[in-house]
Parts: sequence; structure tokens; C-alpha cells
Amino acid sequence: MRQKLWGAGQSPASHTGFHARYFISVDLDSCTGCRACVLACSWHLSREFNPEISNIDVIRDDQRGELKVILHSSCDHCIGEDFPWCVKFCAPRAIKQVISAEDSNYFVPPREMG
Amino acid sequence: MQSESYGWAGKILRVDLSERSIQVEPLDAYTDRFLGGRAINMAILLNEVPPGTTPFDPENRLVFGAGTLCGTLAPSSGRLTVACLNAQTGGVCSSNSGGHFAPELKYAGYDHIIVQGAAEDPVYLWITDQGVELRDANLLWGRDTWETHAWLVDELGDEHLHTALIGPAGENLVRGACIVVDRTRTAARGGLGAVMGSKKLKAIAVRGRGAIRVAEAEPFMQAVHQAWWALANSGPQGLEHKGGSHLVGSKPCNSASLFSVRNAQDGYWAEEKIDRVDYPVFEAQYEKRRVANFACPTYCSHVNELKFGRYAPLVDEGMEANAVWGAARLDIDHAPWLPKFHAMLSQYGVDNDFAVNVIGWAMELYEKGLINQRDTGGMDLSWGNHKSALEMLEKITYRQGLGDLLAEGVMRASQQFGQGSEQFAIHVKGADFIEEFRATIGWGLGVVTAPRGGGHLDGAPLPETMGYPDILAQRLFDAPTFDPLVYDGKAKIVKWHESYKNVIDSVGLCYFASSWNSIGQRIGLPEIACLVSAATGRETDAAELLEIGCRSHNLQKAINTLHAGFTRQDDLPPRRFLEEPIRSGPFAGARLDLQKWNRLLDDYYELHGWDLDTGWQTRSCLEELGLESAADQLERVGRLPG
Repeated sequence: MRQKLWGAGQSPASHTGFHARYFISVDLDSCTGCRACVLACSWHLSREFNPEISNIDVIRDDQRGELKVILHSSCDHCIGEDFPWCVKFCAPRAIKQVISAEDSNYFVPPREMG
Repeated sequence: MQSESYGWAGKILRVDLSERSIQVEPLDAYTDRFLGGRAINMAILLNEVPPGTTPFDPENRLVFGAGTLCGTLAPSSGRLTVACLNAQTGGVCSSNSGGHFAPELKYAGYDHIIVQGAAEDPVYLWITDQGVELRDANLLWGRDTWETHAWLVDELGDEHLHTALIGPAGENLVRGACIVVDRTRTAARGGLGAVMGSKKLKAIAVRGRGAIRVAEAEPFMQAVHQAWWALANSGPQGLEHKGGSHLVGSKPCNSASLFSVRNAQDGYWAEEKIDRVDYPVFEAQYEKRRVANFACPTYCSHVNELKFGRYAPLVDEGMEANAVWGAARLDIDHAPWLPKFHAMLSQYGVDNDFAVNVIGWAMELYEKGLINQRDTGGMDLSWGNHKSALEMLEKITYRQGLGDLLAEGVMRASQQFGQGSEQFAIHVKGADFIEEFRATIGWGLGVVTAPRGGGHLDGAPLPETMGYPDILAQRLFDAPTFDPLVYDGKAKIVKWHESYKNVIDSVGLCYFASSWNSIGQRIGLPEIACLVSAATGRETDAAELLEIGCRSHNLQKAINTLHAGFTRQDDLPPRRFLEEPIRSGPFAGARLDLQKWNRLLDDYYELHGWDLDTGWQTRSCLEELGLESAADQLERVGRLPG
């Protein structure tokens, strides 16, 4: 069930000099469902902790021992921050910022995985 | 919804089930002296429960508390603490649970819930930031916790909600019933589930859409970073990430003689048996994925999946070291039994330690020929019979046959059964426990003096068994050594750990993620002080936190004295630990010495400033902690010496 969701956007890290496009990928196998990314995202958006406004959502299905991660299209790749907060606080490194060769100049609608 | 509070949500929700009334009260009065979570729970319990109340009286309070840091990014900040008068001891009960309930409660705008009174018909409580409702739960009564959780998610139509609820054991007032949070996390000790059952409150479901704000954004995030990476990159070679407490609680604990085998007849489990239920077996055969608690970089929990065999199909999450200790207690070395038993405990809502202690006692009765298959309803209760253990758990839950006796806990059961069975009834203050401490004195003092009765999560110092050098004991605790067999200086180490655990529970972090299990690593007091100061805007430091912890511990002691009248006698270990030595393993021959234990208790009481003869608190020690009202209450019932 290793699935990847590619969310696209202009790199917040473009100040590094690279005009690459960055993508967020989520590895559902290593996600532990701790929801730190959810809080980190809301911190970026409001400097408060509020899962409700977060652009990422983690729902645990403990009955089957699985989980869903929803990445909303409103994700701005932490524009204005040094580094995407959700990536920074993902201890098992399930969320990664990657560079893809694919054309990325589009908006991904919210999509469910898992 | 915005509130003016920083860190705290700032409100207490009071639910009177008899009156069917719901009130909201401010939290301010408590935060300065008690900080949050467990300490505030204790202050509420001591203030509000009148002397003479018994655990199942409507007057008993069931208090849920989310810690100060719950709901923020502070690592492992998802712990919920629940308190009430203890269904087993009549004294205090405080239990701690993971899951996502506590943060959700804060997003809904409340730090604490006080449940009082008792409903006539089963009800459940539905809390959102838009309002709070009591709803009819007749349909849910009798259902297990997994069905109830699924029903609530379905009925309320929100997969983001989180629940704290009871199973059939709580409804049937089994004295070891627990409250189950989000299906597999439990506030287990002290019969909280039975108290909730006595109030006819089946479940609490919560969904919050509010925010938690912090006072100083940048300093808070810096503190989070520091604590987060201290936790993520530490631990003994990342063992906690790999195997959780299942791994670190198996072989390392057995070699320190922390395993209690066959109802504490022995203190060491044979290596080949432990090999059959140790983490590597689970990793190879059953582990489906690793999961973490709320906002925690230590993913110590595992989802185990059984695909074939007698106990399949089964998906179970959250099995801890206690499951292995329980297996040793019953001498069961059949790996699939562990997740099955754990899942059944979660579904019925029974505490693991309680269940294996009473079943172990029954197995010893059977071994000694005091009961036979006629008494057990045809069950073979030999050591290691895993099928019978499951059957017995069901009988306890539904109070059938012998299970009805066992549902009362070993103290009451052995008093009723007689025939010398009190000799091997393992309990402290009337509470069942499964710890072994004949060869670990400090650990034992922590277990025996724990206010809720037993359990290694109050004062029991883990560093004692980890082979740290003496210099660390001298520097950190002013004690001569960590050597587990030495009595000298252990009181100091235990007292420190008591306060420390109270701090952890009050701010809502996880004990397993704290420096309890590796000195100087993970989250320690300085990190917590930074986090709390930045989150609430109330400057604090390590010394003040420890004082708050000590205050919280003394509140629990006062509740015990006030409601249960425990004395020095109740701080003695069970007779078996004094009379029968450990039979095998590296500590074979070790047993506790009553004289030395009494001297240790003297040390311990002196450190606390408690009375040596009775073990009760004195006015001066309580006033030093700013607990004058507790002293007055104790004086009124004549339990304030000096």
C-alpha cells in the first residue's frame, strides 16, 4: 500500500537559489499517525495549534490498523518559512519534500490515500 | 472559539448526572498552585468529595484532566489523567492514558471534566465547542468498547471524534474495570471504569474545533524543537522506537528480576519462555505497523495482526510491557495469546494488572487443591493454560461463577474465600498489582507507597535497574548508590521520582518519553520548565515544578488518609515478599527484610516530614506546601498528628 501523493507548488525554498519545484510526498507505511504534521501546519498558518484549519489531516483507522492522510490543495508549502513545518516534525520521515521531474505546475485537489 | 488563556483552555466542565445539569467554570483558581492535569484533579477531589463517601456513591467525583501542554506540539503531549475515589482501596485513584482524547478536549475548550451524581438510565456525554449534551445510551449498555466506539463515530457522524468509555466490566462494577480511550488506550488502575459504571455514564465523546494558543510563540517553538529532537534522537540506541516497552520491558527487566512468575512464587522467568513472547517474535510474525501517540516522535506502539491460528483474525494495538509481565505471572508462553488477551481486556474494559493478578491467585488456589474443576465450571486452571485465562476473563467481566468472586479483587476475594488464601493474595492497600521487587528495593518502595496502591508508575525509580554508576546517584539524588539490593538512600530517589511523575502527569506529557528511563536524555525537568513557561506565560523552573509535583503527591496522601485511613501498616509489602525468596535467576535467594524495610519507611517519612508512627502527614509539612485546607480537613477527622 505504498502510495504517494504529489502536491505541487512553488518552492518556499527558492531563496536558496534553486528555482526548482518541490513536492510533498507521504509514505503511508512509515506514518505513525501522531498528527504532529497537523499541528505543525496549523502553526504555520496561524501561530496557534488548531487541527481544524490545518492543510493536512490524519485519520486513524484502528479497527484495521491503518490510516488515511489527506493533503489539501490549499497547502502553500510553508511559504515564508525556512522549511515546511510538517516535514520538519515528521519523526519517522514519512513526509518528505522531493523534487520531481514531472511537470508540476498544477493544483492537486484534496485526495484520499489508504 | 477564542479564549483568553494561553496553554490552558481555561475552563472546567461540570456535569451533574443526578440533576442532568451542565455548568462551565473557570480554571484560574487552580492553575497557579497546581498547574494542570493530575495535580488539579487531586485538588478538586480533595475539595469536593465529603468524608464518608464510598467509591460507588453518587457523591464520588470522576475527574478527567488534560495537562497544561496537551494539544500543543510539545512532544508526547497527549496524556489524559483521570481521578476518583479508588474502587479497590477506597482511597485515591489517579490513572493516566494516551490516545487523542485529552488534546481534543482542549480544542473543545475544556481542561477538565468533573462528573458527579449518578444517572438513572445509561447516558453518554457529547462534548463539542458548540455545546455539551447528555444523551440516552440504553442502546449502548452491554456493548463492548470497540462496538461502542464504532457506534458513536457512526451516530455522531464524525470520524475525528475521540472517546473515553467503559465496557461490560465497568457496567458490572468489576473492581478492576478501566476507562478505555480511543479503543485501546486505557486509564486502567483503580477501578475507574467501575466508578463510571456506577454513575451509569457509558461514554464521553469529544470533538473540538478551537485552537490552543501559547503566550510566547517563538520561545515556545524553540523549546519544542529542543525537546522534540532530544526525544527523537535519544534512548538506548533507539530501542524505544523499535520495540517500545515490549522490548525494553522484557529481557532487560527479567535480568533485573522484575518479572513476577506464577503469582509471585518466583521473581525470574526462564529465558526460553521469555524468548517465545519477546518482541523479536512479534516483529517477525505479527507486527503490521508502528504507531505513535499524539504528537510523539517516539513511535513505541505497535499494531499486531494475527492472520491465522486459534485467535485469528485479530488486529490489536498498544500492547505494552505489562502484557509480557502478565504472561509471566500466569506462566503463559504462547505468543498469540498476548495480543488476544490484550484485545479482550480492551473490549471488556478491564485492567491488565488486575486481571492477571486475580487469575494468578485463582490458578494458585487450583494448584494447591483449594478449588477444583467443579468450582471453576469445568475449567482447567493449571499454570500456562492460556485458553482458561481467556475464559476466566470473560467470567470476571460478566461476574459468572468463580468470576464473581474474582471481580472483587484478591483482597476481598481472599477474605471471603479464607482457607489461608490470604497468604498468597498479592495486593497493596487492597489494590492488585503485578510488580516484583524482592531484589529491587527502591522499585519496591515506589510500588508499595504509591497512593493508588501498587503500580510502578508513581515513585518506582527505573535508573535503579539500569546499572548507572554510583557517582550519578550521589550527584543527582544525594544517595550512595543505585545498587538495587541496597536500602540506604532509596527513600530520596523514590521521593524525587514521585514528584517528577506528578509533574509529567500535570503537564500532560508521557512518562515513557521522559528521562525516567534514561537519565539525562529525553524530556527532563528543564525542558518541561521552558515549555510550560513559554506556553502559559507563567515563569517557572525545575525546582518549582518539583514542588508542584510534591504538592500533588501530598494531596493524594491526604485523600488516602481522609477517605481510607491508611496508616504505616499499609505501606508494608505483601507477606510473600518478606517470607518467600526468589527461587531462580541472578537474584535467587533475595527477599525483603522487615526490619530494614521499616527503617527505609522511617527515612521516607522523615524526608516527607510525615509522622513516623502513623505514617500520616503533619500540619507543618502540609503548610509548607501551602495545603492548609488539607490540614484542616485531616484535623477534623482526627488524622493529623503533631
